[in-house]
Amino acid sequence: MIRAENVVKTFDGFRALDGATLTAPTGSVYGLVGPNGAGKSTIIRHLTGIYRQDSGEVQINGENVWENPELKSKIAAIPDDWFYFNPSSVRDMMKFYRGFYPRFSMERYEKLKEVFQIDEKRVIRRLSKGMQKQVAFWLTLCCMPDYLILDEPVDGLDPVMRRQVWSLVMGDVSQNGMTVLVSSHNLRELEDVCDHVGIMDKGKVILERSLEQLQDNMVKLQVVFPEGAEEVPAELPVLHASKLGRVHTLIMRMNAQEAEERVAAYHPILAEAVPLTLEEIFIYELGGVDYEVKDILL
Amino acid sequence: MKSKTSFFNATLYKKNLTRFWPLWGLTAFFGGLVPLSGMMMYLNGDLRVKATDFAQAYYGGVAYFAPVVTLCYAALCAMAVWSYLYNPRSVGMMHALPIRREALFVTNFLSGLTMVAIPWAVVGALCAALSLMSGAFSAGPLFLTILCIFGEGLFYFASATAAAFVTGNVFALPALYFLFHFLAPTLDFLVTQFSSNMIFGLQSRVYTGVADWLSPTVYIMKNVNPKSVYEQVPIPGQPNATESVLRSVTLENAWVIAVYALAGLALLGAAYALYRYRQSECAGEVVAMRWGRPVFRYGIAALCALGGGQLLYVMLFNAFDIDSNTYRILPLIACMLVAGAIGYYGASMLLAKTLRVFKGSLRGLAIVAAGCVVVCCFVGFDLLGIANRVPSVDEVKYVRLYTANNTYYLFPGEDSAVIEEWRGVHKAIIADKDYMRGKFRNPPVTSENDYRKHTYMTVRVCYYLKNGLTVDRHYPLWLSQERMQEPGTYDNLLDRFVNSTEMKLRRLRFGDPRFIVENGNIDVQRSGNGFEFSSRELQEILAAIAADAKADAWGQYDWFDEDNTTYAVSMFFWYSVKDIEELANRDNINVYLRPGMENTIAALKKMGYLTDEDLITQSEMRKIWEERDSRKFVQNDASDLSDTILPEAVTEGAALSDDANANPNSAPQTPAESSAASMS
Repeated sequence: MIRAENVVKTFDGFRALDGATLTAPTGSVYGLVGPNGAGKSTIIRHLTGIYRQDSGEVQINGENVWENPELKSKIAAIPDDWFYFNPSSVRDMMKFYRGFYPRFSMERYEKLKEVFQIDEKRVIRRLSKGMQKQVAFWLTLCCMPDYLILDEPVDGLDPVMRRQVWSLVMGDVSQNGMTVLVSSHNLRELEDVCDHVGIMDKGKVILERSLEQLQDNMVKLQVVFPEGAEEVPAELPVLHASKLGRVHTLIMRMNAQEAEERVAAYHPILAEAVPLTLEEIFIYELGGVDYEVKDILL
Repeated sequence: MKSKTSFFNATLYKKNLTRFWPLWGLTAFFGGLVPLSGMMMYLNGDLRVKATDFAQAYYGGVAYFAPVVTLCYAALCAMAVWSYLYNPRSVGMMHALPIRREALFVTNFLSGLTMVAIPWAVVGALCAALSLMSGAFSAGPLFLTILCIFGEGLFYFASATAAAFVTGNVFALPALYFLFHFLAPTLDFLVTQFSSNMIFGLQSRVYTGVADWLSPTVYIMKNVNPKSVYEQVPIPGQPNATESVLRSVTLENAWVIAVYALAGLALLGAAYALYRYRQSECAGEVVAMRWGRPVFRYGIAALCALGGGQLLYVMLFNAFDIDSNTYRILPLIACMLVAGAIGYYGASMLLAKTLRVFKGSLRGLAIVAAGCVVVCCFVGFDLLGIANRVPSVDEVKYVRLYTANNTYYLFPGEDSAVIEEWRGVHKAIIADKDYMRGKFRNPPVTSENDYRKHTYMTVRVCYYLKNGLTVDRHYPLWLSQERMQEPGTYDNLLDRFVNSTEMKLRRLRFGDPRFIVENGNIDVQRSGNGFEFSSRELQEILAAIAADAKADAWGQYDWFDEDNTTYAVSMFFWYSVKDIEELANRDNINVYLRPGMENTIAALKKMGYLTDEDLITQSEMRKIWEERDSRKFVQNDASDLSDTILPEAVTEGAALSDDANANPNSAPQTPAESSAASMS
């Protein structure tokens, strides 16, 4: 289990993490979403042992991450700007990682060579950004981690390679029980792979649920009210309402059954719950904290 | 890695060495060229060397070459192995690896130290090979050299490592490193300049050297020396001909390097502590530690105020100030403020990585301004009473006094009364400081004849205190005939002091068991002859001079005489000195023969070094030269001038440095310097 408890981190007086708390259950794929500057990369650097928190706890599997090489040998991470030594080839970097990660698998290395089809003798600097990202996945997955931490992992990958990479990751999750924590702006992509989601804003995790719970906590209801009562009743706890013709689309913070029951009191001609996408949940959850939604949607 | 307690990672070590091979490879290549050229010379038969020659070369390298080379090269190696700390991407990758900071530190340090050692190892191996080839191999000097080079390498790389952890910017590393290494001498120079131009009596001091030990490169080069012992041996087949043969070489003060190596270990501990404390996110910052930022900001401001302020003052105000040895407080404060503000904002810009640092900076600027004002006033008004300090007899171990072109040593107990008398002169000089400053602004000498009434003289006194400190004062004085007749003036007191019978004998060191005359010579200008006294003659001639001194025929110092009355005959005596550490066991005195020195003249005539014809005065000698010169001007064309006139002009200059009448501006200030000047 990956756990951060009330983590505070200050950079020159700016609180980048302001009591952030998150929990990613073992074997889960935890999506961490949030606007720019929310603190996603900062908390990831704590989880990988790069930063030391000012206060709070950062633990994986019940152990503190900071200066814990035994634990860190089970954690692999791909930051948004993966670093490699210049002018190293893929093979050079493989040897480097192999010297640090005791479970580094050469067998897997050879297998993934076929998947990524990158000449291992090529200097990484001369590869495209997308290919460099593939190298990062190639070497990271060979470390055979129990915990994989990814920061904006598939930026720069083409759609086919994205699917390929996610397929490899999900394979490890299902076969080895690997826990994945992934931060991304690409909500649609996370929706496909994550089973848990945390939403960060201003240094805090403001919402953390399983995807199921999240979708159950908010509902999108399409309603047509009878003649003469075309406005949304003020008593309804609506987060957001829009109208197209006579059809009202209401977003409410409750499950579908409760929403339908509440609306039924107004004898609607039509009342139908429609599933919310993660993107919509994200928009409406953060809408209340004065967030410029359009900037983060892809 | 593998283990939680591992302190070394072989993969990282190898990676560092393979990544940065051009650095150590090129250095080793260029370093190896020196012994390689020696090998080539040996193979050509042009090189004949012995084991002592190798030892001399090794020790010379340790003392003078290695400190400078390693100073620079260690900085490059540190920039290489610690470069990952300065980039957020690389520091993220390295710190995310399953390895503790200790292991990262140890492994990177060892790989850097290996990079420092490789070129030296290559050079050492080639030198050893060359010595084996030439049959001059000697293990002792080589072993000592290896130890010393390792010690120097350890110290320099450890200090570069400490500097590496203070900063978060790869370019700031060498800047801080060199600043640390030369901060002490720089501050010594700046503070000495500042105080000597502000406090009466500290004039003309440039650099004290008290903090040289904080600048190891300077200290090693000054104190660690190869000591070579030569022997004169007859050249086979050439009767009466000898040659110098190097018999043995030792490395003096090699322990200094060992001490610095230990200091390097301490710095290494400090560097590790900094690493433990260091935050990864400081990559890119000029100063990595938050607490170090105000130190950096105000430290740079202080350095700029002290150095730049004095420079500005010299550029803007000194040209209008006749008394260039004295800073005026208000203009100096203005100059220091400007320079300090530039330093403060410059440092702030580096720290903030932006030019927009002016907003909200008034408080900091006010602190800098207050610092400048406080320092200037504190030193300018001499709140510690430095200028007025005259140590009591009880405080001093001995006193060294330079005046009247001579150096005197006074010891409490036997010389208590003399020291007391001198203290009276010293107090009178201090009491008249305003008069003296006025004289410097309006010099009394405007024509040739004024030199008969006024003269310029330097007095330097150093009290060596029992507590190990020294009180060193230097006074450029104007003396006048008029004031010399006026009791209580420093002119009068100084004249009475210097020309007392007791001080005359002290000048000769005759009968003083601390001074043992070792050798001496005589220079007779008329004949151009020079003779060296035998040890028996030395005793005889010194006794004769002492007898003349007692009879008041020698030693009367005439402050205003232009050496017209002394003969063109001078003697020079060297002494070995016991119990006075700062003299480095040597002292000397220059004695000009005067009319009336019957005992000395008789002794010299008896020895055959002097005739009646040689007894002409300096002024008569000058006339002879002038006549000779004018004849040569007529006889020679311009191309011959340098060959004919110049050597005599030099001789004339030497003659002018009479013990009684040399120009005090050019007067040597220590016996060693006096020796050099007189010998020239």
